[in-house]
Amino acid sequence: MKDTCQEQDEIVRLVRASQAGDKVAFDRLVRAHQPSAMRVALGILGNVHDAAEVVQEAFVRGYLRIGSLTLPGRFRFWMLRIVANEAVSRQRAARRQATMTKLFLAAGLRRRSRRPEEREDARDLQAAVERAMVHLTEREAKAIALFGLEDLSHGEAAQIMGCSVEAVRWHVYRARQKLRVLLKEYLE
Amino acid sequence: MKDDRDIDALLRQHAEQQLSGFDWEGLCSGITKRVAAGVRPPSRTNYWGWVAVAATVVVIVGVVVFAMLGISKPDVDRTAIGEAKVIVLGTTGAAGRAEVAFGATEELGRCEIRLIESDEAREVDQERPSWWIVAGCRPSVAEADTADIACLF
Repeated sequence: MKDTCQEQDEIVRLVRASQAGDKVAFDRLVRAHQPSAMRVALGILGNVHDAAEVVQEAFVRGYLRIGSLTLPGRFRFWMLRIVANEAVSRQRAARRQATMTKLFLAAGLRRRSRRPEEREDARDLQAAVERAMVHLTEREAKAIALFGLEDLSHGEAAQIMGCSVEAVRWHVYRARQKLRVLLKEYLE
Repeated sequence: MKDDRDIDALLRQHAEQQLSGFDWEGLCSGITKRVAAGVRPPSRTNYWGWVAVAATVVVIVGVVVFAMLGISKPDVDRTAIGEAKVIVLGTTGAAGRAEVAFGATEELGRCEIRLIESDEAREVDQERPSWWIVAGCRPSVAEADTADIACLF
């Protein structure tokens, strides 16, 4: 308990130093929070490379906006909200791109059967999760990443998502329902 | 409930697999460099997004323009012999010279045309027009009708 309080005090000190323009202090905040940020981004996107880009972008945005953080003790939730929003934006862009690709290639180029190596990829958990996450709504993806993966409480996830606890419960439920179907073969 | 936990466990397993051996130092130094430089690199995804949007806009605008041309453009080439494209003109008050106002009030109709005697095209501003349309005189353009039109090509 004492350690947790000390850690929290240290976070507050680092946030205040960052707000004063101390880049070394912000670097320490990054090191302390990047695993959480990566898990959330990965939970939404399903792809480690995209997640790393999103996390990098989110921390840069965080640094630029850190002056607006009035409660330094809430840095973790504040940062995870930026990460989740950034990841959802990336997911949205990827969906748009996929839609455009489908439109342009609607002539049937994509109807060709998959190559053997692609079939191999399809069995891979990483590829399966990445494909499955596309089928979730933005709120479902955020909810499952924050609650199911990052292990936050419903209340904490609700604060980050800016919605009610009941809404988080519903989005988690829907996300699990969809993932249960989409990842069925990996659950057996 | 068991399935719920299975899903969460599967996602955690996936995350652990993805993050095993992940270059945390590289990510951190990338952020530090960008924060120090204060420069945002161009986003690959956004770039392609904009390309896709631009391509869509071009396609849609093209379709709309073709559709509008097909609807609104008078099909002059299909005018049959004996028909003429009639243009109601504002005149100068004397026969022989007219102020041509294409598109001001135009309609596709049928009329008698009277050729004015002339052996050669007249010069206007030291250039020879390929054709002339001469209108008869009425007090105002509003009163003019197709019977007033004479053409010289």
